[in-house]
Amino acid sequence: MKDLLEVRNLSISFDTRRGEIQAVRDVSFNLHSGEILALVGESGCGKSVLCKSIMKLLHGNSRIKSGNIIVDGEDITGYCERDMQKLRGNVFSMIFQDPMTVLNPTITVGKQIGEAVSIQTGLYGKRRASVKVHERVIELMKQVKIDHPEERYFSYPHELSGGMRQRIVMAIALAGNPKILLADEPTTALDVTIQSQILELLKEIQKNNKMSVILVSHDLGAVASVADRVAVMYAGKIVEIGTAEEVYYDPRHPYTWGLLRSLPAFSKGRDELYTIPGMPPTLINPPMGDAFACRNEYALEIDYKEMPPMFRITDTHYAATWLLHEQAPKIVSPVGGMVSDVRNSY
Amino acid sequence: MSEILIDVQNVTHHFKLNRKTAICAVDQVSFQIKKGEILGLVGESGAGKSTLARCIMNLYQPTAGRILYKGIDTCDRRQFKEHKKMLQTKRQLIFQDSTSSINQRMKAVDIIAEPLRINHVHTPRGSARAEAEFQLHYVGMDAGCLDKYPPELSGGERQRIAIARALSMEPELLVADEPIASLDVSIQAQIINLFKHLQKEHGFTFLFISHDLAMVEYLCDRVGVMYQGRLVELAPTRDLFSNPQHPYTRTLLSAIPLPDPKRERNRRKGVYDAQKS
Repeated sequence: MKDLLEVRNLSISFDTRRGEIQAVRDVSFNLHSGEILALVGESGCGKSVLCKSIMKLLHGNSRIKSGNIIVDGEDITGYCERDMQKLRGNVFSMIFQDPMTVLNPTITVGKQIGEAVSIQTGLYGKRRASVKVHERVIELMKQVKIDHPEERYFSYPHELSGGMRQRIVMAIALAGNPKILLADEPTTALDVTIQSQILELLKEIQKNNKMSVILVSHDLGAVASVADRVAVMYAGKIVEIGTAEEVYYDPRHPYTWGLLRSLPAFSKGRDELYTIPGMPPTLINPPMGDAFACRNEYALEIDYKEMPPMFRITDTHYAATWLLHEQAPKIVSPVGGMVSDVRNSY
Repeated sequence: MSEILIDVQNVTHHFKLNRKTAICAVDQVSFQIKKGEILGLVGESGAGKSTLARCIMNLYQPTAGRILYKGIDTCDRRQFKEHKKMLQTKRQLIFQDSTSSINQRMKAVDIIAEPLRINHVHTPRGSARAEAEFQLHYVGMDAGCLDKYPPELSGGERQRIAIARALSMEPELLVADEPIASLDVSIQAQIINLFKHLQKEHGFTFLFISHDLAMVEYLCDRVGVMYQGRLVELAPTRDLFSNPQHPYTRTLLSAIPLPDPKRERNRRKGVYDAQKS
């Protein structure tokens, strides 16, 4: 498989009055063409910042400290705004968390999709473009499975349900046939049934359009159905990355264990849900060693002193924890075999 | 366990769109909550869960039906006025979005102590500040947060302050309207543990509204399922999850995501359509 997107040793900081916030610290990963990569972690761990930095949508007080972003073999790290504008929409586009703030409440949804379509096809402001644009809008609305697109064309965002609005946002993102779709928590604002519908739709569109998707989420349970690979982020770093099977059936990083164990499915029949103790560290002065060490019940002495490197488990599975070092004590994962006996009832 | 605290009888609530049309948000719903029970209410957004909660809390006046709280008809104006103080202190509500339900310009201590001041409640621990500190400690936060403003706190901490505010009146009925929907999974687990622990100690009656069935299964004694304004199924948690009767309940159960990629990929997810069945 070819790498569509490659991020190499990327570090991003925000300059604030309180000091420098290191939101993303030395992150490397690659996105193959035609796969869904899920980016999972608690809020504030840098998932959204990472996505926005790929699109170069970050505010003025942020800067890329080091590292490269390579799209399709071309290094876009130093691209200026005009060059980026050419890439946005047809190479990559983004779906945001809250569809209500993305859409303009005073314009019909058809027009909003049409705006994206006309810009992407170069028809913006041209005469007699409206018929072509209209056709394409209806086609997009059908693609995201909106019933009666001709009628819905004239609806305002507030007249649609949350799931429907998210579909409109998806249609806008798909207007330029992007190769990479960055979905930043697309289902967090939705309830369970709609969430599974939207994720299924995302998977279907990804297959049909042969796109690559980066799916950001805080819920390891929700992304299990669609993700091909999973990357777990903590305090601005990727701590574990691997195929979905590897991360769910054979997780190696204590933080991944914690995330999995805090799902209610794993606490069935127990008196209390598992929670990860403590709070994530502030990223203004991140701790010297492993950022997770102070919340980690399996922490070793070296965790407080030195940052663990990425240990290779298989060719696709890597984790950053000293527990994988050959001198470390062998610890059996507390969630290893549990996945298999969770909920046979449904 | 046997005493009935709240009795909802055929409650209907309409929202008028214009002179001719109205939306029926809650349609002929009846159920009872026993004292000391945790009742979960699930359903997709727009099912009328929040409207029902607001009717119970007297924030909306139901179009038809009665809601009896300890035998007092709260929808009747005269009876409400007679027991106003008791009704307003002994029933408390926690909202979904803690950023908008908490005043951003008040310190945590003032937020928690505000109900005490409004209701002129005698503070058993001396001052309002001591009371706030006690409640804050109770929900698992330390006194250092007392003088902080909400924007300085994380989402989970803000939600804890909202819970502490509700608890400061020592309520008998606590209604929580999607209290964990906007939180991270690990924080959700903390809040759920907190609710379970508090309920055990205080013994208050709890109406828990959520769309997350997995959490509801863990927390609640009984679960009601709402669909398009109607209560379609109400059963003890174990029965509902092992033997769902209504097709919509089955659809909801099939939508719970499992942390198991292989099985999840092959699972068939149903879509429930009221017109078809």
